[in-house]
Amino acid sequence: MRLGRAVPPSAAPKALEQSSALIQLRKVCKNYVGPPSVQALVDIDFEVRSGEYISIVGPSGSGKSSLLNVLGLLDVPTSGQYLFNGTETAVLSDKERTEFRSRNLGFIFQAFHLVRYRTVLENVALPLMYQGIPWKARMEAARSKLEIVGLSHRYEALPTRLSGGELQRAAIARALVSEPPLLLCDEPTGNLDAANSRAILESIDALVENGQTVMMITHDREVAERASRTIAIQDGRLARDTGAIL
Amino acid sequence: MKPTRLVLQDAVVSLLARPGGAFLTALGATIGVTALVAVVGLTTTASAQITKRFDSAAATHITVELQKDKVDVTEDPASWDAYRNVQHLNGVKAATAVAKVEVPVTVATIEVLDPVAPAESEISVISATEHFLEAENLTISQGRMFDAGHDDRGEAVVLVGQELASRLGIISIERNGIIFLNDRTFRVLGIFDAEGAPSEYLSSVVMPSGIARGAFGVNGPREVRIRTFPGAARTIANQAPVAIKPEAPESLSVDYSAEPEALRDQIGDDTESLLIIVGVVCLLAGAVGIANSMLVSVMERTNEIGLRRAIGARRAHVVTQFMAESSALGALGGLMGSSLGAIVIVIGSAIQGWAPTADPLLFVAGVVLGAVTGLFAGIYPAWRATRIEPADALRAN
Repeated sequence: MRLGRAVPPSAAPKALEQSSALIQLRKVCKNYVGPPSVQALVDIDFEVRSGEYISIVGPSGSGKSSLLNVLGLLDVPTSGQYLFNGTETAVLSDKERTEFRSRNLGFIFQAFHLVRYRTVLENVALPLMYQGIPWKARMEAARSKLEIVGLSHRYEALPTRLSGGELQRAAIARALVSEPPLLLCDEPTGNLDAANSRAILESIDALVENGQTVMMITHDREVAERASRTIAIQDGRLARDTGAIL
Repeated sequence: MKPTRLVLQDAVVSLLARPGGAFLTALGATIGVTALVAVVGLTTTASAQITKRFDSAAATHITVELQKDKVDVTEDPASWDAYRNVQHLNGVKAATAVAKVEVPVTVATIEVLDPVAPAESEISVISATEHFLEAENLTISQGRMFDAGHDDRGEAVVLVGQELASRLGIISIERNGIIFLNDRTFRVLGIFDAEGAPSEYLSSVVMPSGIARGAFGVNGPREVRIRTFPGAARTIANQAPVAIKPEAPESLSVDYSAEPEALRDQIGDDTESLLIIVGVVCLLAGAVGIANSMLVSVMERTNEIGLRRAIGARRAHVVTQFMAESSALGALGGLMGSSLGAIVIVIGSAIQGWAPTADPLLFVAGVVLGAVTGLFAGIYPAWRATRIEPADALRAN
């Protein structure tokens, strides 16, 4: 069962053109009005096909997080086009953008971001609540994802009782529970020790093998090298793209 | 299913998941509602006490003077029954027709050869009908009251006031219950005493109108004395002359003390105003408490709000979540406050020796007010929560 995979029908008329690419960025710029004013992203152009595993690298302050925010519809480009499955995202209202994000994007954060007073199961099921899915169906979906990440024995545990690795695996389960076409990871191993990092990366590898599209920000060269494609950002510009679609 | 409904459920579950924090936040409303319920309850209790005191001080005695210079009622023996029509008026406790024996009357006890026996003395003699004691707020301390039969038969019986009885040395009416009024023998049927305030009658002799007419020439009553229930004096004062003498009510003069209604109403209004002011202040204090706690909660949960927004919560969901939590906390505080308020009312009343008086709806209102206060208190924190941008919130951690 795949939950919420489709782009909302209401968004269909906004499609500018059909493409085999999952996402398309065309001349995307992001400026932050100061002081000091900052050009976080400058003319970013790339496309991503379904099933790709892409690492986004670059020094601190290069614009990686701004790019992830734009890709995750957490922020709106100042100019340029961002098409997701052919849908122009810039014209979506705040409400439409939220619904779109809920159904099409999964997030994994460095700091895990689990609600500390809710159980692991409830945390994983949380995104489905905002899609109006009843409790029982939410819990079933959450259990299946927790089984995939190997946390079936910690359903009722509170996040405060979990190790760093378990927290991140719960976060992965939460990101997957809506079965989104795109998984965005922001330094997913940044707070983990080597063993847990390896386990998490292996989990992500397994997802990619099953066709999941993943884009991951990382500072770690070894982590970046696990991806099939690397996009390097420097001073807000696309410095290198090892797998650009021609 | 509508996400908003699920968010409402989630708000309750979220509160239950952190009972400690919820309890502390609800304390703001608890304090406010406790103060409100206690103030309202104690004020209501105090008002009841004030009303009781005013009622006890209110006029309950009316005297209708039968003015013989306008209409010669004294010549009409049936006028002794004038009080009967008054007796049936709604609001009358008791009514009696009375007349003072105008001729000098001397009293003496049984003639025995006793040097210390009391000498003869002049006394006041009252002629009255059967409900005299009730109408004058007097009670029988020994013996019994005369009745209509004694009156009709013209029996020579009397009641003696407690002071006079003591003066005459009448300890027991069984042993020395005979007195002489102007050398005429009378049987002491009973001794009466005052129930409340001292009475002018305690040094008098009271006899039925039948014997008073025959022995002392009292042809008719001079006054009708009426005792009313609290609050009825004014109405009865208007109705009594018509009831006594419908053909010429204006010929009768009525005397009664005006009830202090205006003063009571003024005090009532003042109490109500005080109650409203204190109540509003308490509610505001409670609202500020909840708003402050909720605002702190929003700041503490910035990260969580950002996450919820990132994974699909619309601004409306965030507002719903925080308003629902705030209302639920307000209702919880209202429930605790109503309970504590009830305890305060009972303890406060017990200390004052008052009977606690409070409308049960007050406690229901306390819960509802708590919830409404929570709802309003949650508006600003909820609005602040919607201003949180997910990207900023998630980056902050």
